Formats: sequence, structure tokens, C-alpha cells
Amino acid sequence: MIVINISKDFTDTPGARYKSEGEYSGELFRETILIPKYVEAIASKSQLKVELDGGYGYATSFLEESFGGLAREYDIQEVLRTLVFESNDEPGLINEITEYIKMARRERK
Amino acid sequence: MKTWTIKLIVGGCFILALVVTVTSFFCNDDFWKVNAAQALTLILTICIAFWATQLKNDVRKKKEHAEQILKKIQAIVNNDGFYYVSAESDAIETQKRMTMTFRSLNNSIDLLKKYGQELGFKVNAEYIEKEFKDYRDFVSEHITDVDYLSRSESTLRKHSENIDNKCDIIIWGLY
Repeated sequence: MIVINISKDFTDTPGARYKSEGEYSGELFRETILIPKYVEAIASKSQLKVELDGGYGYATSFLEESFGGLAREYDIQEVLRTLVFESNDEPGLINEITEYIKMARRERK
Repeated sequence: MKTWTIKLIVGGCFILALVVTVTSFFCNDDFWKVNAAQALTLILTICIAFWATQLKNDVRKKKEHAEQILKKIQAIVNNDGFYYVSAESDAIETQKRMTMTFRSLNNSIDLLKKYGQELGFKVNAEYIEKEFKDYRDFVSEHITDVDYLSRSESTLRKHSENIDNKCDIIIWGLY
């Protein structure tokens, strides 16, 4: 299993939605960390575990742009099958992120 | 007044039962001789009474814990930092404070929703959840823009007051 720990691999203060809004945005995280690891997980037919603990918390815009954005670029069912989330600090985030991924379908062109 | 009436009735019943028992003990030679049906009835009654008391005790403890959670939520939303952001404040520090508040409230509201199912305030708990979601989405979309947040006090305060009022309503209905 491939693992991303957001607070260690990216930052402990995730920021806003777009790169234009400041440092450590969801867009930057998706482009530089999430997508490369996701592609690697798909290629090796393994799961991608995303560890959410360890930081100061998340803005919903960051989470939507990261994971909803991933689901807008790739197949939603495959994203749901591949990603596994872990959060002890805020367990409710796991359901919310899953919702962002499912909702991405509606926004898809 | 109501409590005194209940105490009086319970006390009266207890004294009456005591008098009947003592009288039976001294006036009836067969006092300790009971058949299986009587013994079973007695045991069953004691078990049911114990179960009913414990059940009520559990519900009461859950209500008390739900009240603690509601008061914690009220303390968070009534704190100035929930709705007031100074234009001069440091962006990263503001972001940290806001996202930690999100986490704390999100966890408390998750727990509150579970109690809401059991204790009959599900709809009000869902209202709090929605108000919090609207607040969090609004702040999240401008999390790095301290200037914008500093000019949004009335919007943020609206959510604070809505959540606070709903907490009061739930507490009022708990007992």
C-alpha cells in the first residue's frame, strides 16, 4: 500500500483551494503529491492510503479541491476503490471527503 | 412542590409496606413459607425494578453528557474568535485557529448527532450541523484572506447565534 501523510509529506497547515490564494493549496497538493501517488497506486494495482492526522485541521475548500478535483480528472469509482483514508483527529472528515468525491460526478462535464 | 408530592407518596408507600411486612411477620407463623410462584414473582419484580432503574439511570447519564457537549459547542461559538478576525492578524495563525476550531466543532457535532438519534433531538442536531457546515464552507473559501474575513463579522456572527440558540432549545427539551 502506498501512503501519503499530509502533515509530513506536504504541510501541517493546509491552505485554501487554488494556488492563487496562497501557499499549500488543495490544487498544489493534488498536482504535486496526490496525482503522482495515485497514478503509482493504479500502476501497481495497490491502494493509496491518505493519513489526515498530525496537522492543524483542514479547510473544506482544500479537501474538495484535492479529492473532488482528483475525481474530476479520473474515474470516480476507481478513485473510491483506490483511496483509503485514516483520521483519528477528526473521523468525520472521511465521510465528508467521500462525499466530495461522489459529488464530483455531478460537476463533471 | 411537585418533588415534595412525589417524595410524600413514595415515603408513604414505603412506610405502609414496612408496617404490613412487620405486622405479617409477627402475626403470621407461615411468613417465611412461600411457594415457588410467590418466590418467582418476587424475584421477577425485583429484577424488573432494578432493570428499569438502571435504564433510567443510563438515559440520564446520556442526557447529562449531551448537555456537556452542547455547552462546549456554545462556548466555542460564543468565543470572539469564532466570528471576529482582525484585519491585522497573522494569516497563518488565523488559519490555524480557524481550522482547529473546525475540528473541535466537527467532532462535537458528530457526537451530538449520535445522541440526537437516541434522545429525540435529531432534527435540531441536523440544524446545528448545517449551520456549522455553512460557516465552515464560508470561512474555508476565504481562509487565506484575512482582510475579507475581517469584513465578514456579521455573516459569521449569524451562524454563531443560530447555533447558540439551537443549543439552548435542545438543553431546554432534554429534561
